[in-house]
Amino acid sequence: MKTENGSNTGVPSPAGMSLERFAALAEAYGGEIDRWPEGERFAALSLAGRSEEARTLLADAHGLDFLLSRVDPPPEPTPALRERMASLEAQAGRTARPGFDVSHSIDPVGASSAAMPRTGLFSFVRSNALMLSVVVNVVLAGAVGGLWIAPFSDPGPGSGMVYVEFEEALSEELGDDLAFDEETPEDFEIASWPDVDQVSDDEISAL
Amino acid sequence: MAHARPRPFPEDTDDALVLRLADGCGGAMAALSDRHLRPVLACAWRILGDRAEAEDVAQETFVRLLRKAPDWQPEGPALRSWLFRVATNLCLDRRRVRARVAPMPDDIDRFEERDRAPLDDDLAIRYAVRRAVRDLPDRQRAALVLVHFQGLSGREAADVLGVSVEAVESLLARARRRLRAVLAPHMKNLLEVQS
Repeated sequence: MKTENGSNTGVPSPAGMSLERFAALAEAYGGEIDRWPEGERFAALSLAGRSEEARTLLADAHGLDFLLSRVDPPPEPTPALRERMASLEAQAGRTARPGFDVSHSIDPVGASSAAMPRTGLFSFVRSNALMLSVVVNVVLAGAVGGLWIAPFSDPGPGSGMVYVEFEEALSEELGDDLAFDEETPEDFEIASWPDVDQVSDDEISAL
Repeated sequence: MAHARPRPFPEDTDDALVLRLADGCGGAMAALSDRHLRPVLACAWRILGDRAEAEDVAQETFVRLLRKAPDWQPEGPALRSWLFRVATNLCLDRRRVRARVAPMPDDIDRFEERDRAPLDDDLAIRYAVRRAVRDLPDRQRAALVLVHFQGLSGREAADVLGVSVEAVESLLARARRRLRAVLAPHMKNLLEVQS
C-alpha cells in the first residue's frame, strides 16, 4: 500500500492523505489512529478533522474493534509453567557458557519432567545413549581383556586409543572442564592398557 | 500477579539480560521471563486457542532463547520481536500439524461442551468473536493477534512474520473484512446489549 504521494507507509506525507489511504489504514489497524503507523497519524488526524467520510470509516472500524474487545483476556501463567520456567533458570545457571549448546539439556515437554534434575552431562549421555553404549562396551571389553592380559605384556603404541578418542570427542562437546579426566580415578587409567594384538601367543597360552 | 520478591537486574536492558543469560548468571532468566512470559503466552494462546499448548510454546520459546543467548547480537532485532517471532512460528507449525491430523477440541470447544445451558447475549457474542478469530486463516490470525491484541506496530509485526509492512496491512485488512462479515449478525446484538 502506498500513500498519496507514492511513499511507503510510515513516511509523513506533506501533501496530506487520500481518503483511499485513510480507508486502507482503518481497515488494517482499526479505528484508533494512535495505533496507525506513526508517520501517517498527523495526516490521518487532519483528514478526519475535515472529512465526514473519513469519520464514518473510523466509526465503522471502531465497531469491529469493540467486538474484538469482547474476547476474554489471556490466561495468566499457571504455577506449573512457572515451575518449568524456574527449571530453565536452574539450567541456565548451571550450564550456560560460551560454546556449550544447552539446548540438548532441556526438555520442553511438560511440567512433570521439569523437576527432573538434568545436568549437561546427564543429558548428553541420555541423548547419545546408543553411541555411548557402543563405546562403553568396547572400552569394557578392552578392560576385561586388559585385566587378564596386562600382567603378561608391556604397553605398546596405540594402546587405549578408544578411550582417548572418546575423551577427545567428549571434551569437544562438553568443554574441557566437563570432560571425564577430572573425575576419572587414577586406577581407571586405561591409556596404558595393552593392545590385544601385541600379546604373544606364548603369553596367551600361559593363561 | 505480583511477585513476592524483587526481581534481579531491574535496570538492565533486555540485551544486557540476554548477555547475562549467556554467562550463566543466576536471575537473568527469571528477569527475562518476568518481562516477557505473559505477552508470549498471550500471543500463543490467542493463535492456538489452547492453554496447555500455549504454555508449551511459551516454554519452548524461552528454551530457544537460552540456546540463542551465546550468539545474541545486541544490534539485531529487539528481544520482544525475536520472542514473538519464535512463538508465532512455533504456533503456526503446531497449527499446520494439527490441520494434518484429526482436529482436536480447543478451549472454546471444551468450554461450550461443558456449558450446555442457553447462552445469554453477552456470552454468545464472546463465543462468536473467539470462534471467528480462531477460524481465520493462520497468517491473518497471527497478524491480527500481533497488531490488535499484542499492540505491535505494523513494522514490528512485519519483522515477526518475515514479510513487508504492506503484506501485514493486507493480512490485517483481509482478517478484519472476514471478521466483519462473520460477526455482522452480532453487531446489532452487541449494540443492544450495550444500550
